[in-house]
Amino acid sequence: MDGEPGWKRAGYYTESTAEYIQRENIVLIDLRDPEVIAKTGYIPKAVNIPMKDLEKAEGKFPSYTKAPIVVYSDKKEDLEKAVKIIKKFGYPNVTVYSGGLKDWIAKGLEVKKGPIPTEITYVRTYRPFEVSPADFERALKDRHAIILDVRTPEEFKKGHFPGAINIPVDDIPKKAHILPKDKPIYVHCVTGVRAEMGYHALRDLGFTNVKVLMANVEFEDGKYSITE
Amino acid sequence: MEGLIKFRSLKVLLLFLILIVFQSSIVLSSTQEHKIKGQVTAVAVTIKTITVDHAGKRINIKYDDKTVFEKIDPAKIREIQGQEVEVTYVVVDGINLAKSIRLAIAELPPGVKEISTKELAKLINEAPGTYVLIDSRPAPRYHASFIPTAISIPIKIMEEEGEKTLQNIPKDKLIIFYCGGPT
Repeated sequence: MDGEPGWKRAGYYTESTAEYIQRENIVLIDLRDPEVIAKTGYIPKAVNIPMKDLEKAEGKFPSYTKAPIVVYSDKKEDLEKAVKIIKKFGYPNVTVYSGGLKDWIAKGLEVKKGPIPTEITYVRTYRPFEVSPADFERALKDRHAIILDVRTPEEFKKGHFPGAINIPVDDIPKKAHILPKDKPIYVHCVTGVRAEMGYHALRDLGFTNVKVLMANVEFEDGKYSITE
Repeated sequence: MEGLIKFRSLKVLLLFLILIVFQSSIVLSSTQEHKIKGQVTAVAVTIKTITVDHAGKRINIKYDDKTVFEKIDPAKIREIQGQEVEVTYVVVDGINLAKSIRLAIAELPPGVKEISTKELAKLINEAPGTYVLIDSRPAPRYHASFIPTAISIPIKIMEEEGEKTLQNIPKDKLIIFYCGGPT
């Protein structure tokens, strides 16, 4: 009855399919030793972090902690260990491809030969209603969009983006009419949760050019930081 | 002939009258209770608001001290994220206010037993081949993350194609279904 979420909560790993690995924007990690990979080849887009080095490799992981990560190996016991270590690093969306290279070949899929990359390069894909931190920060300078802060007035007082308009989520139905309609609106809060609620509220009121900053926003000593 | 036309226009007039009465009743009844069922897509404790996906539309609903919670611990409200709930709410000043929030838990049909996560893990590790594990979530969610050894038969496809989807499954084996939670 607890389903897949209960399974993960209990500390067991889940698996991903070959189709998912091929199609999605993920981090794929080959846990085998480089000497083995040199002989067999590897799954395209895989990065090599040998099992013995994994515990010291936290710095190699992407800044975006919700990035989907898939690991594969030729040793089943390594998969379980790797998932635990990567979860401890703070990445909850880690799964395994238990069939590994053997299953990949059996499915007739492409195998890459030659040197395997050892650095993770992950560029997050944004959903259509999300604004990237880069675009958001650009808007702070060139004002191509309205910055809408949907936190409470108390939070706003402690620190906010220059030029931001403060309308708490609850007040949107009453106050959204003060927002200009000729510019895109970028909504933010502290994590993105309230910002997304604000997005839905604005959409209901007929605002079509709205995007959400899905990132952690902090203000301290007059400075801001945006992290994913 | 003339009588018929008169009768017709009378009918049209009556229809208009009904429409007007009906419409004004909608305006008047904005404080009426709405009842929806859907998945919770977001929980913001700071502003006591949840977002519910109701037939593809995301609705923000506030809760307060008067909201009645059923099968939900208000102190652990974050845990209802991703779960199916039934909500009754009223609209006050453009804000949706929850009267009640109930976790929608499926009742198992007679003869169907529940298996715990622990028991399932034991089965997967110690008795491979004795069971069939079926993931009934939509296919993309299966591909992204499935319980080891599971096969995918989305509930939608099972509903549309019926018994055909299960015909390759051996009848002498234990069949276990799972999805994304207790619904």
